[in-house]
Amino acid sequence: MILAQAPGSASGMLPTPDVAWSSFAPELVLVVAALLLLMFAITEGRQLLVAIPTGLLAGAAGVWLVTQGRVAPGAVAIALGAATVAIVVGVGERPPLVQAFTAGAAALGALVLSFWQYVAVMAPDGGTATASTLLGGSVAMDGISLFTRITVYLTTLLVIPIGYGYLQDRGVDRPEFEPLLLLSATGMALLGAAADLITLFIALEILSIALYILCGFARRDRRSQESGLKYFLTGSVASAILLYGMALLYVSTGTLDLGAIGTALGLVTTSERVAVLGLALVTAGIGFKIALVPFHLWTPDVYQGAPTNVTAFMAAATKAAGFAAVLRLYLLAFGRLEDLWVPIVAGLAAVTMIYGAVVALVQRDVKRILAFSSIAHAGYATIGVVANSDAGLSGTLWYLLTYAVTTLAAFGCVVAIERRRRGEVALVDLRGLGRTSPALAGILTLALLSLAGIPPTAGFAGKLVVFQAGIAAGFEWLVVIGVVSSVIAAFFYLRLMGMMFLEDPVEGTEVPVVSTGVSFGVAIAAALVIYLGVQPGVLLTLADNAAVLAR
Amino acid sequence: MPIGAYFAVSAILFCVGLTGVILRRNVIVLFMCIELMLNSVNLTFAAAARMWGGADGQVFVFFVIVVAAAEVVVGLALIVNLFFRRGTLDIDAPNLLKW
Repeated sequence: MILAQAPGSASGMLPTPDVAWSSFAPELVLVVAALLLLMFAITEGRQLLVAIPTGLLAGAAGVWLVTQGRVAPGAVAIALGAATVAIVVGVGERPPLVQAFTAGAAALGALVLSFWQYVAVMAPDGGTATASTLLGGSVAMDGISLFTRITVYLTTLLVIPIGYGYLQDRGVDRPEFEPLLLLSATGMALLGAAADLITLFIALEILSIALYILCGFARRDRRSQESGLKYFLTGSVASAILLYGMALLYVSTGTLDLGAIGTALGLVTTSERVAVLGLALVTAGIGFKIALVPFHLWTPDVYQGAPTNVTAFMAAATKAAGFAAVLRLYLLAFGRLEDLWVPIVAGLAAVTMIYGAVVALVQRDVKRILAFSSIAHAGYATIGVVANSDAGLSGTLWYLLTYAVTTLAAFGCVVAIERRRRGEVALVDLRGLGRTSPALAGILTLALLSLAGIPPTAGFAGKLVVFQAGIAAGFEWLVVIGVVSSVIAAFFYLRLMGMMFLEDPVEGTEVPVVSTGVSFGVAIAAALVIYLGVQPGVLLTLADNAAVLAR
Repeated sequence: MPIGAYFAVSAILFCVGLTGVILRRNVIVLFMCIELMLNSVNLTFAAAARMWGGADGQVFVFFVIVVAAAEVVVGLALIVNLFFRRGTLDIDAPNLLKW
């Protein structure tokens, strides 16, 4: 197909594929920003030489876009070009700040463009939004991809200020951090949009390879090194297993397109046994990425060892992207095999919820506790997948957004507590935090309440929607397990709160360093936790539309 | 040769790789086993593409090769780093993270 002779080739002209660039607008911003940041790193001290041409080019492109009638992306391009020059002129003598601001501006631009896509690309001229595919059907432009973009870019936007200063305190501040973060976010957005197996695999690897490096970023710290290596080895084995599953699906169906696989699985010519084996291997491989028990073994070690801002990014964004791929795979490609996978995935979800909550009880390291809590939360989000319905789909997407803001707030507080210390926050470090720094303890309490699912927080709104979808689909037993698991989890969240507020501080414990960046990121995350809990309207509607759009 | 033979060989290769990953403790050998798994996938895709008469399976093979190369770059860097810091290639040597 791809190598086929096109009519124009006789005259020496290669046919140019028709690419709908507007559909990749947010990703373009991130990739350009990543390249720009690398250029900044190379031209140390002469950043204006790079910034001015880039700013001018972006501005010119923006003006051109505006004259073409694409006002919003043009305005974003002009704003980003101006921001680039302004950042370099304003804080040029402090390279880390330039990096952080540029990356933050890019993430913000990507987020704005995602909303623009929802309004303008999918619903041109004010009509109702419609799903479409691009690049010969390999990239989907629908509700799942859009909502995943929003979650991922919001996470990126908040992680950058939270991480600013943290890496410097640990002495591992290097300019390739932000580019890797942006590229990883690009991979995640693409994973949410992948509509065939090749794109799915490539997107998964873009995000994974960048994350392997980020986990081992503090390379002189043995814990970080161990985290990176473990994630790399387990991750590449999981990728290989996933790939073999994909290969078996191709053997049995003869197509790589997810929709076509779904159709082919219903035909009698398809060898069902091979397809079932492929389904099992794909479940194992993708279950690894979203950390379902029993494929979770890497999660606690990697989350504990990685730099905390990377952990926050992984917990919030990777999960969202992985679940987007899961939704697309199971609801779209494996729809015909639902009798087979629904009970198995339901079982996995049940085990995951209980295991994550129970094992968290006996941990002593705060990051490890949050890692096990993330495992339990993967289980809750899976209820929406198992429900195998529109309500379940939008429930899972919505749950992941609420979980992302909550976990960002929690890890942001851990970043503040961890600074000036050597990468470990044990439970005793939380003792008396309510007296030494009440604001931080208050926000951490809010995040923990949200993780426990207590109203009026985002976590409650998320759990409510997912559990409702589960009950509507007839999975009462699963929802009961989910509630039991939440109660167990609430016990250790409450224990943390008790430590913070009821016990006296340990003598000689350093007071947490709350920098402007951390307070900015954490404050926004905490505000979103409350906002999504009290006023879920707007984004919940978006999630509901996402389900309609995906079908 | 019947097409099934290719699938059988690739399945055996995959199982050899997976067994190696589970049993061996040297990081470099683990790495080689992962490559073996990826190559068994390539063989499956190429054979299946021939069976179905389509090109997309072969295209997938190219992507897998490229991604495997990228993984090697990152993986070897991590392994070299491990060796410099600890002087060993044993996978059980990094053991700070546990409960």
